[in-house]
Amino acid sequence: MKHLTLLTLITLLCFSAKVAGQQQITGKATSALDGESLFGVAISVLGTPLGATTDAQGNYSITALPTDTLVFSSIEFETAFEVVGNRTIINISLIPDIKQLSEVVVIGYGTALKKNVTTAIATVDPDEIPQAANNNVNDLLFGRAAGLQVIQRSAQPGGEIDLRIRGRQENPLIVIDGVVMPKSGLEPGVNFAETDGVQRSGLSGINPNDIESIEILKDASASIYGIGASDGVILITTKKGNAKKIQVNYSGNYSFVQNMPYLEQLTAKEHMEYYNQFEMDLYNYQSSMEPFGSTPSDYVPTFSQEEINAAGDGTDWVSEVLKNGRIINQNLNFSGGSEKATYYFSTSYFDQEGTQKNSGLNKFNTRLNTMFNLNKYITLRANMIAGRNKYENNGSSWQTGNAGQNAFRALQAAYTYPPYLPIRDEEGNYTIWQTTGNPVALLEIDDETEYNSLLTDFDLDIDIIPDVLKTTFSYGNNTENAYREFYIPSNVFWFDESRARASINNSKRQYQTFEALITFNKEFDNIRLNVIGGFGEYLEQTKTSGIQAQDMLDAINVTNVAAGTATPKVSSSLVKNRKRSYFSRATIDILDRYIVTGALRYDGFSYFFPESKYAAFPSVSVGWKINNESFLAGANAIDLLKLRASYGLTGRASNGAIAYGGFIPDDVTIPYDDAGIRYNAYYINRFDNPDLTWEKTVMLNVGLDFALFKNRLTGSFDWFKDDITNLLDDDARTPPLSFLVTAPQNGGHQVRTGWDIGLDYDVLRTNLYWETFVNLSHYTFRWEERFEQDVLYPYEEVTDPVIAIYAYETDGILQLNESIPDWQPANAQMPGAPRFVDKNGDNVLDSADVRLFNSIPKLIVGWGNTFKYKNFDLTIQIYGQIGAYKTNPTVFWGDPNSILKNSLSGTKDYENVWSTANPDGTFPGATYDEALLAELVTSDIAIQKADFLRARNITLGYTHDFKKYISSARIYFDIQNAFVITEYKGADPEVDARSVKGAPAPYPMARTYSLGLNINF
Amino acid sequence: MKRIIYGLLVSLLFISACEKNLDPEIYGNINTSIDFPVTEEEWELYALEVYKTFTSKWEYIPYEDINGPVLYHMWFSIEESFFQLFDYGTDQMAVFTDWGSRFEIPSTANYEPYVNFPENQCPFNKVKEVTRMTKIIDDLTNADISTEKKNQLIGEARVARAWTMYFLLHLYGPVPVILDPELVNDDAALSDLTRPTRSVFVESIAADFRFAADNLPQDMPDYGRFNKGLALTQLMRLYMNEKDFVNAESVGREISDMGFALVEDYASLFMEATERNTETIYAISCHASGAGRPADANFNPYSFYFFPYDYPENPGWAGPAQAPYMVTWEFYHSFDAADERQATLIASYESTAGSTIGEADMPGAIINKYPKTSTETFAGNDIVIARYADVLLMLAEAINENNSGPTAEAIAMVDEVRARSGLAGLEAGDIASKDAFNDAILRERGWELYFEGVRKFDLERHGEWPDLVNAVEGKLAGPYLLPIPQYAISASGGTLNQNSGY
Repeated sequence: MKHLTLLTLITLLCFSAKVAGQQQITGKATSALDGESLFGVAISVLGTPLGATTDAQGNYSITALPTDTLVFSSIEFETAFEVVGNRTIINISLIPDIKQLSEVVVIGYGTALKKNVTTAIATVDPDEIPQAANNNVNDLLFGRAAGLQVIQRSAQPGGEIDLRIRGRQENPLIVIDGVVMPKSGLEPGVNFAETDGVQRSGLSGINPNDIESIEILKDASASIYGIGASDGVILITTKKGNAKKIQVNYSGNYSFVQNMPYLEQLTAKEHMEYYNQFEMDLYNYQSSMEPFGSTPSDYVPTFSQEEINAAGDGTDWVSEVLKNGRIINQNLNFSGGSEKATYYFSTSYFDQEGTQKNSGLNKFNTRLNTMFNLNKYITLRANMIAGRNKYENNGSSWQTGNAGQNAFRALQAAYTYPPYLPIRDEEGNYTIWQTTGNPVALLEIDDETEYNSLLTDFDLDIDIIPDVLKTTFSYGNNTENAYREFYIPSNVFWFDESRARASINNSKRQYQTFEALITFNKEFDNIRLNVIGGFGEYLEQTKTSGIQAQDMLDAINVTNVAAGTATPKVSSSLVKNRKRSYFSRATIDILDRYIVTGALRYDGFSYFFPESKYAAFPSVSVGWKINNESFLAGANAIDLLKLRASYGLTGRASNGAIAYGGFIPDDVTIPYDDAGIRYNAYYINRFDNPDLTWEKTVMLNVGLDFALFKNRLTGSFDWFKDDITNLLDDDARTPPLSFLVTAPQNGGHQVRTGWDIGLDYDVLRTNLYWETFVNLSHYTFRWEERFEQDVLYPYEEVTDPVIAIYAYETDGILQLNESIPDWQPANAQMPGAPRFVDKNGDNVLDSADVRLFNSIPKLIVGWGNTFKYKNFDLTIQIYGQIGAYKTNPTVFWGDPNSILKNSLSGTKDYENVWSTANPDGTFPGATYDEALLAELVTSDIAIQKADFLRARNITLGYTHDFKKYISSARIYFDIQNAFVITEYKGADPEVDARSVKGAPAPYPMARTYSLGLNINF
Repeated sequence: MKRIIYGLLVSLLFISACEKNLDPEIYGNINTSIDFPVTEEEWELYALEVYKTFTSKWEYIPYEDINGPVLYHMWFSIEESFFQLFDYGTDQMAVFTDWGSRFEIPSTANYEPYVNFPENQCPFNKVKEVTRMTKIIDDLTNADISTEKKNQLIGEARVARAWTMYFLLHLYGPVPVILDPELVNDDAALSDLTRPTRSVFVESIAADFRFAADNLPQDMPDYGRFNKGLALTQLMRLYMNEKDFVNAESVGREISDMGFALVEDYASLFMEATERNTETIYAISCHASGAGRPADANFNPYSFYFFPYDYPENPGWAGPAQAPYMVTWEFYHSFDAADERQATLIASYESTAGSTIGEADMPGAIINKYPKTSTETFAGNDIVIARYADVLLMLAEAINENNSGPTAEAIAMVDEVRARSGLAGLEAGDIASKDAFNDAILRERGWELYFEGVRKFDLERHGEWPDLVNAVEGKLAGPYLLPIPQYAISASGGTLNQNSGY
């Protein structure tokens, strides 16, 4: 620092006399956290070499013009900018930069300093993440943490976003302020088995604006949660008030939402031309006519040239269904408090109009966090979040229940109706195309879900010996209720009839967490000891009920289903289970160099037999802070170097894995006497299985944390291995002659290994500040041993990847007059068929030629950049994956068989289809039908690389500090999903699309432009 | 203060020491800890599970996997149903390829690709149901209920078991099944896929049907439950197809004595209004309110498979000018001009597009055997399984075999069936010899019983499989039996041998 001071003096001497209007500025730098004076804060005048630093009391002095901007920077604080104006005294309160090493990390039943953490825990700070267009906590996590893959399964408003820690197959255990939350969304569905169209995200009752921090426990650190922690744990901490004057924050934004490029409908003219071309090829091939055979073709086109010439563009069905959307998002929060009590109150309103007609989300949310120091010893915390969501469900996705085109909803129907068909006929009635309902008419289906949630949480802390021994009792309860109303008006043709049909489904879910905890903290000479012990009991309960009724008047619809004259159908269910845990953990820190943590959790699950009910989940982790060793005392570049390792056991139980046998009423009723008598038979659905017990995952992790060059480069590297044994499969295969088709069983062994890297680098720490962070994850996941009754196909190996696609490779299309290879399958021996690859060159296509397509990405990438210049900030967040294959059933919209056989209307992808007019086409021609292949496996024509790189957010902000009324305000512009780079065709590489009759039409991904304002009062 | 602290500490210790048993709370089913079934009504509910695979619904879903519900089919569903397995591939039905291999394979009778089908799509999975029926039969045997009710329920369960085994026998030959109740939960026995001998397998089927025939009345408490006539007809079919014509004849005469009589109008047999009649021995009782969903009444969805989607009334799901289930033109033209049965077929229609569709446009004639009269989506016409005309023709065939030639009684039986449809008696050439009479019976059975799930058995019994089938364009029939699916062969560890020809 001395040379800086000297430099400052010299520059002051040089410049002071030269510039008119310059003034002497003095002031004091303090920490916003505790008000302490800060020493060594660098002050510079933006755009000049002038500079100064603060002294031990935090005071500084510098010369500047009124138009100048002062830059205050210090390693552990966020850089601050102040315009001089006519001030001569500028005191600055610097906000601690929480990504720095003094950061406190929530580790489950306590906190630790990040520098002392001995396990693989990633932290995400939602403050840094653009939230304008987002209503779900999961939205914030795309590409934000190494080892965490976030997958947008459905792009519909409130659509499912899944979190996968290190390639684990389920969502992690989610704990909000100590309360265990459901892993999945609550969506009651529709009582008509042929349609649902909703994939709902979990945590839908939480407002992302209320989140203070998100911790991701990736390794054996999760063991302290034993129960259900085998998929990792995500700890969410909500914002709290502090003992300060009242702080008020308002944020609001408006977003314009536009669909990303999606399946493109053909014009009427194109449709007719393609139809004729494909039909001609198929006809000539089947009749052995030219050019396939020697007989001259007598094909008569279905559409005449006059019809084609007159066709024009026709009806743009897709535009009748898709549209632009918008989002209005408003948040207001107050926080503050005194020594005795603190509070945080927030309320938010989120209203989204979807990019498909009739789809949307309206969300209202309130949060109250309070803390009362009842006396010297007792602290009470009471928190609650109340949410109300109203979803308008769209008609996208795909039909269910093995139904065909007759169950298509609006978006699928839009790609099914020929563009030459008008929306209505001359009499004004909706046109009907074969078995599918009219897309526009289908939009008249009412389909809404109302969702209410209430998360309450009471904690009582008792300081038995202040700062040493503390007990905490906590009770948390998360109750959700979802109510779905579905109504098809009587004039809407769907599923083979025009008829009034109503369905009401209700789901109610309750998660309850009760825990008692003792914490002991003590510092001896050079030794710090932290011990916890606790007890927990957890309840999960889900109740559902549903009704389906028909033939009421449209004016009544779902409001009085008793008006339906057809026999109604009803359903209900109740699932309830309990888990009980005893847990303890001890951490000892010796000489600030060696840290050892041991933990033990002992869990019981009500669905297992007494002898298999309980299991112990121990874990141990060690850390060595090498930078504190004397041999590195002189290495100034190293701020932190910590080697750590963890080893531990986690468990998984399942709602579907019940060890107790029983009789269940069959949902397939036994009807006699026409419909006069129906019995519900009771059948044995399980035998007692006293051995059924916890699935166990042994997690091993070795990691290195480092911070170099005054924390300019920080990061972590982790290598891990999960050994999953005793896999608990709800539906494991049974012996071939068992009358149980499946049964819950333990068995098999899977191994997951991989690594993840997170790096954070301040590229520029000048007036132009640039921080970049990169995270990379890689894993493999394979079988080591299979379940006893598993039967492998001849092409499968025991140790194959757990998720794999098997198919025959093809390399191009068989051309006219090309000789047909010997190994070509029986139903692929024609020009226009894909040319199959005989991998082993034995002239036979058999199991040895089956290729395994890996559906696990080789690399998962997140890359973020933050730039700050004066009052401007710019962030760019990118994520993606490389090296994964995915079956893409949306390619079948572009299959020539779709237009000829399945009554679909085709897409612009037809330009890639082989035909006698387009021999360079890369997709098989009309002569070939993949559905008729009937070989050991399918061909690879629907398998595509799912590599992509997506610009999740690009945000430009401008912050202004005020002196009166408002303390600061920020205005920003954000583009979410600005672009995606991918070779994947049709729909988006991320979203789900299921193989169904016809083809699926998942809700399109959208690009969102947001303009927002944040004001702190 | 201290007291509070200590008090809380004690309570914490108390909670930690809490050793409540964490008992299971399982709802929506009856746990094994509860005594069930006890009453006669409960035993009945337990026994009726045997009917599940004999209902007419889309499917049943034993479990879900990562791709969603896993669909298994009943014998009277559409895919892999009794019709697809025993009628679709025969000489009477046209080939259909528009809906992929699930329809193409059974319609062309090229069963080879079935070897790769997963368990849920292979009727071989019904071996599991035999085990369930064995368990139910044994539990009923030990039930403390009235003997009359007990024997009725056991009779129904034994029909279900024997019928399942009969279908399996004609799909795969004798297959491993669990008939010993001691073994229903014995993993070693359940994994042993060694085939039994044909005679053991057939005797077991015969014993089940015999027990049922002796213990079930013809008029069951609910219309649609397995009855005496069904048990006897199935027993007769078993004997016929095993070429045990002596036993077949004796069972046939037993049925004759039950008082069945042909109805006057052939078409009325398949109509909703006249579905209960003197001729129908057993039918799947359907109702138009059924839509094929699990909780529904049985349904008759055939109109969707009979009619093209451009047909003006009750349009189907495929088209234009074609449907999944159509009879070949050869079969259509094989009817005598006077034969009233041909009226259940349609050779031309005015399409919704306004054009006349006829023989040149369609791959076959439209079947209208179950005309839909309901205003609901699906029809309620009962699906006929066993009727007296079939018994008469079988009995005539058995008598012919047992007497090395047609007797007057046998000829009269065939003529009775013909006369009902407006035809004269058989011509001299048809009754000239045992073989000629046999051929005449096979032809007569074709006209009389098409689309009733018996054709494939008949062709095999008369030695006409696969030749008669392969005379039809597009048919690719090979062996009579289906291939054992690869999954079962793999699971057997080599003890389950593949059927010959695959």
